[in-house]
Amino acid sequence: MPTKKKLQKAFEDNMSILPYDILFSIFIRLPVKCLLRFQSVSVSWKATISDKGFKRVHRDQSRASGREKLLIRQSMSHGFVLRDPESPRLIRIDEEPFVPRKKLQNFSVVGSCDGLVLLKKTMGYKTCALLNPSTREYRILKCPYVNHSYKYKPPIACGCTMMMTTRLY
Amino acid sequence: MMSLGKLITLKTNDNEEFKLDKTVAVKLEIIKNIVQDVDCTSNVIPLPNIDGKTMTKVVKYWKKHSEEGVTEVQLKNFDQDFLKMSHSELHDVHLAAKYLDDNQLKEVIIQEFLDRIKGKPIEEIREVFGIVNDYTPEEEEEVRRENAWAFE
Repeated sequence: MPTKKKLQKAFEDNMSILPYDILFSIFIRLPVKCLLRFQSVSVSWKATISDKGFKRVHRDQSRASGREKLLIRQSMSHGFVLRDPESPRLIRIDEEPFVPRKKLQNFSVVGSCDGLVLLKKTMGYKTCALLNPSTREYRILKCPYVNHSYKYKPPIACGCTMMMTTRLY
Repeated sequence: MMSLGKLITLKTNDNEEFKLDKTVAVKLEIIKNIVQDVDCTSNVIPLPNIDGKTMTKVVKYWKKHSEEGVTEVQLKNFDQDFLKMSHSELHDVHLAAKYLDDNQLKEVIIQEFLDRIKGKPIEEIREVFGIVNDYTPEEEEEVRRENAWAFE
C-alpha cells in the first residue's frame, strides 16, 4: 500500500503543476466514474485513486454530500438500472463484461449501505451478492450460517452493515 | 495586544506591503492569531511564504468579497474574472490561501481546478497539466480495459 509520503514524492518527481494536496481535494469531489477513467492518466494518479485511505475519505465525503442514486430492478428483464434523482436518464449497470447479467438475473435487492447493495437470489436462500453500482464491482457471497436445519425456515431478514472494527462490509 | 489602528500592513517575502482595513484582515484566522499573540507595535505582519504578485491577487479577492452592498451576481462575475489565470498562478494563490487559512478562497480555487479537469479526455489532461505518462503501452491498455465502461 503506497503511503502518503511516497505518493507525494512521486508527484514532485513528475514535475506536475498539480501538487498532491490539490489533486486529493479535487478527486474527493469527483464522481466515481470520472475517477475510474482518470486512473489511466499516470501511475501516480492511479495509486492515489486506488489508495484505501482515499477511498474511505471519498466515501465519507459522498455520504456527507448526499450524492445519491436510485437502483431499480427491472422486473421484465431482471436487469438493474441506476437513476440519478436529478436527471431522468436511466443507466444500465449490468452490461457485459463488467456485471454479467446472467449471474445476477434472479436476484432481488434486500438491503443497502453506503452505496453498496446486497442482493439475494429470489429462489434460493444461500446465495447473496454484494454489488457496488458505482464501480460496477460485485462479489458473490455464500450465506455461511444457513445449513440444512434451516431449510424450511430460511432467514428472511438480511441486512448490510459495516463492521467498524474491520472496515469490511 | 496590537494597538487599535484601523490599518494592518501585511509584508510579503519580496518586501511588498499591503495595507488592509483591520476589519477585513481579522476575518482571517491566521491574522487574528498573530494580532492576538504578538505584541506588535508596528502593525506590520510579515508573510514569509507569499510573494507580492500572489498577495496582490489575494488582497483583490478579499477586498471585493468584503465590499458592502455587492450583489451575488457581481461577486459571481468577479470570481469568474479573478480565476482567469494560469495553472501555476492558481496553484500559488491556493498555497497562499492555505497558509492564510482562508477556506473560502481555497474552496474557490479547488472548484476552478475541478472545472478545468472534469470531463476532459485523458490525453488533454496530461498535456494541460504537464503530467508525464509513465505507463507502458501494455499497462495503459490494461488499466483502460478494466474501466472501459467509464470511458463511454
